[in-house]
Amino acid sequence: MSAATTVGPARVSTWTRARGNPAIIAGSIICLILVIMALFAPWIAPYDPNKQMLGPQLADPSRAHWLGLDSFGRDVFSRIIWGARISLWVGVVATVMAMIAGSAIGIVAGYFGGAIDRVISGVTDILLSFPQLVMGLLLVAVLGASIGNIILAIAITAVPAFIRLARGSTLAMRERDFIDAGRALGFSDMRIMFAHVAPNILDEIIVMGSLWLATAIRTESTLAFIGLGVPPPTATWGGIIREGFEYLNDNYLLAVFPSLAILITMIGLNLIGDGLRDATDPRAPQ
Amino acid sequence: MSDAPLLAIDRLTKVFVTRRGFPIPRTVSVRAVDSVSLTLGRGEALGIVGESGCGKSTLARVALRLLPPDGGGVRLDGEDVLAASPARLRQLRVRMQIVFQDPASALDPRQRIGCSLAEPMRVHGIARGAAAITRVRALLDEVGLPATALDRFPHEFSGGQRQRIGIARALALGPDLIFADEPVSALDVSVQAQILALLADLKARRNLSFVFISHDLGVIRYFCQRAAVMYLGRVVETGPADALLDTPLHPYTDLLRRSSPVPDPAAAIAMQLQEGEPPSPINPPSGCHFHPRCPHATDHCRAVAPSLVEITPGRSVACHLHAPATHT
Repeated sequence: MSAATTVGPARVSTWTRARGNPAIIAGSIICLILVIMALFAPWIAPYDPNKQMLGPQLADPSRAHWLGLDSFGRDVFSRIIWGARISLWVGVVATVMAMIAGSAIGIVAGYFGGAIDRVISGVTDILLSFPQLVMGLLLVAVLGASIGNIILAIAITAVPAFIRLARGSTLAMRERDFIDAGRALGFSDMRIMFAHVAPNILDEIIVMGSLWLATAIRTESTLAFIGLGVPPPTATWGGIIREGFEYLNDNYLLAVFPSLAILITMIGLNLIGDGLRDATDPRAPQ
Repeated sequence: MSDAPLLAIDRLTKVFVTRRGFPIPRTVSVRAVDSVSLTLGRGEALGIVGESGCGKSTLARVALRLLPPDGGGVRLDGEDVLAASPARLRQLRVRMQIVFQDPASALDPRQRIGCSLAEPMRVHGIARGAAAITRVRALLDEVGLPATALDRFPHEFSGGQRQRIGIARALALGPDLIFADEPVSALDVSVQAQILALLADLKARRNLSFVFISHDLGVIRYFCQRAAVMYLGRVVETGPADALLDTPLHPYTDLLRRSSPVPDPAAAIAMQLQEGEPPSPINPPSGCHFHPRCPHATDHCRAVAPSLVEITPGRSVACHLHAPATHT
């Protein structure tokens, strides 16, 4: 009860706190650059990512080809820029799908409780017991490797985490009197769940989403590396690493550059996610 | 007070069942509300007094069907609330509302006050758009808040102001009956007086009926015409508030009265403290639940639970001391 008193003011200032957080600023700059790269790839990339150059294969970085050429003589820098499109698109769409579906299911489980909650929580626990990558692999293997199926597979692997988070937050919210007030006023369960519970747990879901976005992008790259990603010749970060991996002894740089791209993306997203988490935690020192 | 009661609670019972223990869980049940019968007339305020955990709040929540009952009945104007269909229940909810103890928890922190107060009107099709806003302004004025409150969030208000908003929301649908669940317990004493005065004013102006739950005898005496004393889920005494508090019949009512602080330095010496805490409701004492703390307990009290018997018109007590006729 007394904790509830402090939540109100702290929550409203969440975004004010977030704005001044250096981690969030740094992460946002990194991510903004990535998004611009992805959106304007056709104009930013110096070459067509699939065009084979006449220069030597596996060439070292040069003034003409900043990150060198791959085994087919394609410009690695252009391919990484185009690869950002796939990685970000798959990551964002899969995470948003998981956020929406998982939160809705979790809110229903937490709000109604009882048998509904037991079934949903049971299935969630089973899904969570699979390592995320194994699950993604299985799904892509069953569904087939296309961009839509990869998005779906990654979304399904992320859903249980959102269900669990939304369920827990809803359980905590249910203890608050305004839920009972809504019922006493004759509001429908749908209205209470999605007009009153959902906005109040949104902060936590968004924080979780920013952290899962990094995981989703990593999963996409891993699937591509294993060969279950978006099929070639489409440029994907995982795919470029895979091709570079085959020529590791000839020119290791081919695998290093796309790995660095993934690393920078992970750092950017995690900076935002951790920063947001600190900003939403009313007890965190500021 | 007309003859037909506005609210009639008849042998209402609520049992909480949980499974506890490891490795072999045991089913534990708590009779939070144990066969409680009460009536309330139009424009009347009925106080419900008791220690924490005696089932006062549960009684209100079951009567409002926020919790499912385990027996008994609740009638509003003769209509069975507990048997009402979901659609009918929505219509009945318009007529009975609740004000909560903790005003911070009672308001959606993400909703502006104007929206909080207009939402029930929209949901029930009473008013929308500009008409709803006009009504919300009138409500805010009625509870003593400025119209500028409309666009603000709950956290921008003090506890007393939030309680005013909670009261305004309870009034939004124009109810006949309000369950006030410790509405002033979380507030400063000076603010308590303001909120009580507001409630008394609204009660007179709108001819509202109140079920007023409190552990504060002074508040009950000020606000209520009648009072009921609850102990471990049972009603042990009912009667006119003044008479009940001035000349308690049940030893528990007497204990409550004597353990309330008296604003008189000389009287402090006369205050007697009773040994003992309320027993666990999971495993209540046999017979009369109060016997372990009662100075007058007999073997009969330990064996047989007394029933609520009318001693004088309007006053009932569940105590063997006052109903020798039941000694058989």
